[in-house]
Amino acid sequence: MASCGRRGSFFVPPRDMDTLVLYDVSDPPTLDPARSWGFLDGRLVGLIFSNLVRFGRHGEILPDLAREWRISGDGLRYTFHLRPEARFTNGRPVTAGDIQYSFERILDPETQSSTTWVIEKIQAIDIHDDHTLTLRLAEPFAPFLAMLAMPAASVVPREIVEQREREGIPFGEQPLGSGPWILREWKHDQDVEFIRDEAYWGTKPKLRRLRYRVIGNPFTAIAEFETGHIAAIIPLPIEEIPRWSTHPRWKSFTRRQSLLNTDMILFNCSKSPLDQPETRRALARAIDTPLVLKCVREGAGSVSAGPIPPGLPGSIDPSTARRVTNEEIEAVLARSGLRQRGLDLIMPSRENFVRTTGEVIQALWKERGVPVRLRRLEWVSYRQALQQGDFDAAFRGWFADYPDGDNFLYPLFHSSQIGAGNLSRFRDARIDELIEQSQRELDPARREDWLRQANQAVSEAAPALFLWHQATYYVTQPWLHRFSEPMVFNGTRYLEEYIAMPDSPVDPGGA
Amino acid sequence: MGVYLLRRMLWMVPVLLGVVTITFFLGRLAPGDPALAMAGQRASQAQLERIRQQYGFDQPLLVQYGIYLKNVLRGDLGISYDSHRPVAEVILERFPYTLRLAAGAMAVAVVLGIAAGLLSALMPNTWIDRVAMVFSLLGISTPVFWLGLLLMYFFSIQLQWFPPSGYGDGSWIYLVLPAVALGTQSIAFLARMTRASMLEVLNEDYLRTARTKGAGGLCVIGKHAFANAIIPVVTIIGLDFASYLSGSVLTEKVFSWPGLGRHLVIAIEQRDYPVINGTVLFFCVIFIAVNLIVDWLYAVLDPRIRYET
Repeated sequence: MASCGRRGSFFVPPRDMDTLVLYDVSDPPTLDPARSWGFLDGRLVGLIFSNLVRFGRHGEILPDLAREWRISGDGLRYTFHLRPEARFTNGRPVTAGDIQYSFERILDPETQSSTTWVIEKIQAIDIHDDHTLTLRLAEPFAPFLAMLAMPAASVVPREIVEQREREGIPFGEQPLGSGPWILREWKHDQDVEFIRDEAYWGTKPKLRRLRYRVIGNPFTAIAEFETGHIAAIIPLPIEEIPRWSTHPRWKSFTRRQSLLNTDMILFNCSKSPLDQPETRRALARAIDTPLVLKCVREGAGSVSAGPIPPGLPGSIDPSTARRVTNEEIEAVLARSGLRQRGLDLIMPSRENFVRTTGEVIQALWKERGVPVRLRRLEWVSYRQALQQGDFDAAFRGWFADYPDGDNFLYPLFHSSQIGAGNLSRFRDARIDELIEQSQRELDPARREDWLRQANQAVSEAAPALFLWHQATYYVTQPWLHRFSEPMVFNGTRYLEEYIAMPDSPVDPGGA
Repeated sequence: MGVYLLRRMLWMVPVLLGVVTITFFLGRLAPGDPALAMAGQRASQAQLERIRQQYGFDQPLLVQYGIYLKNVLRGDLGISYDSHRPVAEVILERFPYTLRLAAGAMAVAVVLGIAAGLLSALMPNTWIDRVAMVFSLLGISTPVFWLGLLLMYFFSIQLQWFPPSGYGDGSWIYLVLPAVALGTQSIAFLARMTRASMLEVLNEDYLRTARTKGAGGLCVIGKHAFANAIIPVVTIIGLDFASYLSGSVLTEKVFSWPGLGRHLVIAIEQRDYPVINGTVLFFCVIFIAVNLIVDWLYAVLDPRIRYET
């Protein structure tokens, strides 16, 4: 559909110079921070609410409600000084008590939050005055500050939460926070509309309105883009990447963003012969991942050597991964019995590239004489099979909750997480110890070293075939300025963006 | 007629009870734990167990069914697992959109389908007849999602006459493309059915008699032929309308139309049982109601049809 054009111009002018219109494929399930765990709802929660700290576009940690903080030398006490000017959108100042209430609310079983892990490291909260509090931890935990920037750690006003409860309205339907945007209207399955909070205590967004439309079909989104109704296509469907990124006019508006992600084929390490590292390594090294990446994702990503993606401390260069010769692979596979037993590979059926990945890997393992039974399951059945261990190998995509190597190690490969995030049922005491060291270490350089060692060890033990770290391509309208996709899903609040015709790109200045 | 309708409505009770029961047990037999759909990827076993307890998934199936049935009889369809909103509220919020799309598609289909069928029947074996029948064949054979994208390409991107998708501010301009895409198959069916039915009626003896008595062409066609030929066409209209009301998933997805069909598919993916059960029950009521209306229309259109009491 990329023909574009209207009377001499290759793009359609904006419909409204003061409204940023974006889209997502589904309606957010909730806008209640305590119940939010998805990317879309997490991003929208970040517009309405504030946290003690927040992520910048590149995953850096920035002050938000806290103007400054101090971490004790032993890493057990985090003291935050709140901005006295910070207010909820109903005008009430944000106090230290609100932070305590918000965190306790997540832990309250009545809230039904599945993200209690975000704050469960907190042992106690000491409130010194309305604008100063200390969070005490039982043990040092280096990624703690980053976790406080997650949607679940957003600050909510108690009186409004309780008022909504009395009225029988879920707080997530009519949320109120202290962020730069106010939820104006939520038409389910259509759009979520926000307006700028004119009394916002921080830097106000340049645009007055922000709309998130629900557009389930990617080609419909392209049609909406070409008619100027939406400001960006994020992400471009994989099959559309070559066309837009080489289009003479659109290529300069088509951008690539590396994501904090790792796609992998998990091995079920509790099943023989996959409980043997050499078998898993042979299966993993039998796959030419650069070729698969090129075939199924048009190269949108970078080849992976271990779980931690590039750009995060602890990542490793794929060229340093230990080589396994063809003869070694053949010998191990012959001994393993896999050629007789075969492998049961499960894939979620949601995305085209995932389906194709399964087929390509099935073909490549078959070339090595290992028959593969490929099962495509819809999402909930797939998750159930993963939980119950009803697989030999399984596709899994993992995106960062917070930009730290720990998020790619502890939940996925620490033995304490078997039954939760560690679905490969991988157990290795040495790797557990390395991960724990990296969590306790507060010195950034030494911590990076622990993370790298853990990453390297996981790569060697091969509880998964690490495929790639995804990159996304997106295209923006020529009239949308200062827009870029963040590295972390909630790393933008759309403060800088503005709309102006490309021949007069005048920054309208602060609102 | 009144007694007949009352009897039909009483028959609705066992039908709806059957639908409630079958939907409930079919849903539970499908693989996939709803607690997994509700929890994040890092949820622990304890958190999953707590969700199962809170929503009663740990109770025996018959107990769950008993509780659900009792609530349905009280008019309570439950709370959505996904959005935590009352199911009845969710259905009533989305049904007007579905109704609007169904009515639009039916209007397009009735006007164009019957007109094409009449023209074909009145000018059989002419080029008009052939063109109309070729187009009706194309209409039947074209998948709705593909037609939707084609319409979008020509009328939104190239000509810029209509917005590509969405409900917008509720203006009719947003309805045109989805209504045409959805109604096209009905246009084709109605055209072919109208043509066949009209050709059959036009050769009946009573029409020849009417003509020999001096009745004019329009009078013969309108008063005698069309009134008799329309009855099987009404059946098709009723069935199509009922099926449109019970969700047009592909059209809703392609055109981002916020109807019930798309919502039901999402609920199935999420194992949102209250929404699935409530929506299927609602669709069943709609289907029965539309069929009742069609039966009543038969009697209105053809005085020979009488429903025995």
